[in-house]
Amino acid sequence: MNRKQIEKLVCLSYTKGRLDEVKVQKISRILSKRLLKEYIKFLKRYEQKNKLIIVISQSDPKEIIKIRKHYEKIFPKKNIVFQEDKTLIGGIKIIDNDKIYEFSLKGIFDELINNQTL
Amino acid sequence: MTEAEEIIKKLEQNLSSFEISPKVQNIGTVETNTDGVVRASGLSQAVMGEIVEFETGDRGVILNLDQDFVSIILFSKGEKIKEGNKVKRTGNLLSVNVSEELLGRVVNPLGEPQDGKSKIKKNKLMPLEKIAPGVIEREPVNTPLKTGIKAIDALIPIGRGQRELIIGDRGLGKTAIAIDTIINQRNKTGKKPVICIYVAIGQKQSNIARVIGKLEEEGALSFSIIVSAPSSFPATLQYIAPYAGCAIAEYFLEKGEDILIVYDDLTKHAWAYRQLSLVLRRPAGREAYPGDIFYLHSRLLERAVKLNGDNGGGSITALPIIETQANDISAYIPTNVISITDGQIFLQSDLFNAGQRPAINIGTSVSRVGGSAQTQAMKSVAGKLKLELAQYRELAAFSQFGSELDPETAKLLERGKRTSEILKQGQYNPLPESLEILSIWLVTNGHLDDTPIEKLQSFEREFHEFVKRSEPKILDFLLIGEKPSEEIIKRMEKAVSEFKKIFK
Repeated sequence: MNRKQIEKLVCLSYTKGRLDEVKVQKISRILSKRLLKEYIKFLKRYEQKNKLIIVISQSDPKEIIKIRKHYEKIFPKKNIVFQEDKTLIGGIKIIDNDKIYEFSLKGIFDELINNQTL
Repeated sequence: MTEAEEIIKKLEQNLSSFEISPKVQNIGTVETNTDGVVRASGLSQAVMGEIVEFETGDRGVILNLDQDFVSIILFSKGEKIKEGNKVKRTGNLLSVNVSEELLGRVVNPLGEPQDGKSKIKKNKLMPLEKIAPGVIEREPVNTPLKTGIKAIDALIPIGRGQRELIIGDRGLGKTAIAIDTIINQRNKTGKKPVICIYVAIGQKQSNIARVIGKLEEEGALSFSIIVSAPSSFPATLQYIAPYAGCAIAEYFLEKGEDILIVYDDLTKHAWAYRQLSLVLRRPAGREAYPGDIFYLHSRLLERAVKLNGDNGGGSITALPIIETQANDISAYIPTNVISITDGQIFLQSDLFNAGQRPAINIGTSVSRVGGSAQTQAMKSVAGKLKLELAQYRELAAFSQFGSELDPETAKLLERGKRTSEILKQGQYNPLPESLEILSIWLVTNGHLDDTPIEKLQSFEREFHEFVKRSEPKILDFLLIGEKPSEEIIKRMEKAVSEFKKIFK
């Protein structure tokens, strides 16, 4: 089984954008140990690609609903997950796979420190 | 303006250019860390040759871009880097900070001081990888770069902007030739000294320390820069060392300076690159070197240049060094570098063991472009020398078969022996061109035919002193570089006859 076939199996493991446990169990039974390892690796990567982590400084339920609605429009196919990090001070940080969008106060302060010329 | 006002003004300038914009970072995750190579997933926007930074503070450079992974070679040992660690892009390509402050300093290939002296101020970042100047910006080699070694300046002359390979087995004096050449760049009255860069790749720290000590002792460190990547450094740093040296040279080239750069040695550089390529799992070719081993050296040496007047008129002269095994110049790396360079100085162990130092094999050594850079004064004496040496080599081999030789052949053989003797020269004793011409003139015109061979060295030394004392005008004329006039030749002949009366 080559890489493309494993990738295909990973895609088939989802039903309506959600990981289907029954399908996963079925697939895992037919795979050898080596291929199962590869399958898990690809599954993790696929999950990471489809996950959008939004880091906020304070978890206010009303705010979370508002932010979720806003970002669902921008990333319609992504599974949005919220995380709380008080060190951000204010603003939010968005982690989309290997990209980090920094809109927080902490990010601005870090930039100020890095760019100081005096 | 007071100091406080200046600081406030700077702050105000910063404020005017300060923008609050969202920062977008591209990150990756470490998957494996083996043999100084890290494989990381993510980093989808990273580019080849970009510097990346790990959360442990280690840094590395991207050398492979695969579909899901990037391979990063580390500048440090990277023992703290673990699976799952985050790595982020810096957006900077490999570059080295260069300024005039580097003169007289010892730095590593990243431009960081290694001599325990003060930090080098940030000035200009020069890229390590750069496309060599094109044909429009260049001009032919036309100015000599004097090495101060008689055999080289007369028979294998080097011009500014040339690439001349120094090749030979270990311990034959390859580095000594390069160091002598650097030492010879001092004492140029009224002229700017050629800036010398010595790149030590994969050498013992003790050897590098000895070279630095010698340069300091001879007063040549003030116009020299040492780029040190000893064998204790990771292969990555050894691999980038010659490019860092070249980037430093290009900074001074932009200012219209003449630079001499010594790569000591490219064999070890090829070894470092082979090591990196093997751990990066690139396909191995002949002698396990990767397929682009030729390009590794050609792109480096092609950056040696003589720029035309419109482009500043500066030059970079490269003296790469290659170590052979058992005098085999037909091995893979030696043949590659021989074909890239504009000539080679071949040192042979037989000659070295026979006491001929520098042990240059005149037959196999060649300078393809340096002849046009030789001064008329040197040309006038060197032409005869080449012919005589060629005849001597032929006759010396032939004379071994017969015992009886006609007087003409015996005379040629005797002259040849003297010519070989006069080409001997001590280490760290480069001569000015005027004295070199004088020595060669002596032997090619038969003035040494009646002097015993064992006394030739002392004759030469004392004659130089005699001329310096009694006939300095001869030396002044020879320094100009013009072909000696009848009058000068008469004065030289007169000086010889007078000296012979007092020489014992």
